[in-house]
Amino acid sequence: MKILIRCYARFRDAFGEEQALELPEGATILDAVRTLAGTGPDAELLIDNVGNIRSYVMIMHHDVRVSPMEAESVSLSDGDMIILFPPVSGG
Amino acid sequence: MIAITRDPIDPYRFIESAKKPETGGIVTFIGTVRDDGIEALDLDVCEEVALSDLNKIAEQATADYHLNTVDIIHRVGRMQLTETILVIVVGSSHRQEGFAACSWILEQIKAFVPIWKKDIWKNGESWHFSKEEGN
Repeated sequence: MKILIRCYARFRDAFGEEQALELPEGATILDAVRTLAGTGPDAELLIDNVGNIRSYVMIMHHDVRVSPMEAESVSLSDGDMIILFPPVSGG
Repeated sequence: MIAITRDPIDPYRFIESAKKPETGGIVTFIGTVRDDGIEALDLDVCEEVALSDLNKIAEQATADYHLNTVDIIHRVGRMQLTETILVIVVGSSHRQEGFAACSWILEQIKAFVPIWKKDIWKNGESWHFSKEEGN
């Protein structure tokens, strides 16, 4: 299946604004983020040394925030989009 | 008004419009570009999510602090030193609720609204980026 990942700010500089990824059926958000991390030289921005998504990464899926700890339990469907936000700094 | 804009913000129009018979105090926060050795600041936004978040924050603040009015206007794009980044104007019957609400709104924006600052230097640029786990 194909999914899209859109990145903002620092993550966009590292991984591009939007990437289409081919993933196996049943793949989760964690699988998608690990795959995206492997496409650039700055994987450690997204993934720690044991393969978990860093806790500062904000994930949006179907207009809902998903915590990095939940990412392994959310399965994706063909055509889904995930949005990744780095730590915010507005105000 | 709850808004994200790329244009300069005039805070006084929001202060004037917050004057209501039932309001006894108007608390205003104006965030500006500070000179940390930078030439300018560039703010990026995920506008759809940020606007939705700001509306939710305003609704929650109105309910929790019994506000009569609330305005949040956040500017994005390129800004020079001293320019206004953010205006929060809250009108309340009593001052304590106004001060508390204004502070709470600002902290909520800083905690999770998807807006990002990038410092523009003479010889480069860098995102504000905290790697603190759980930040």
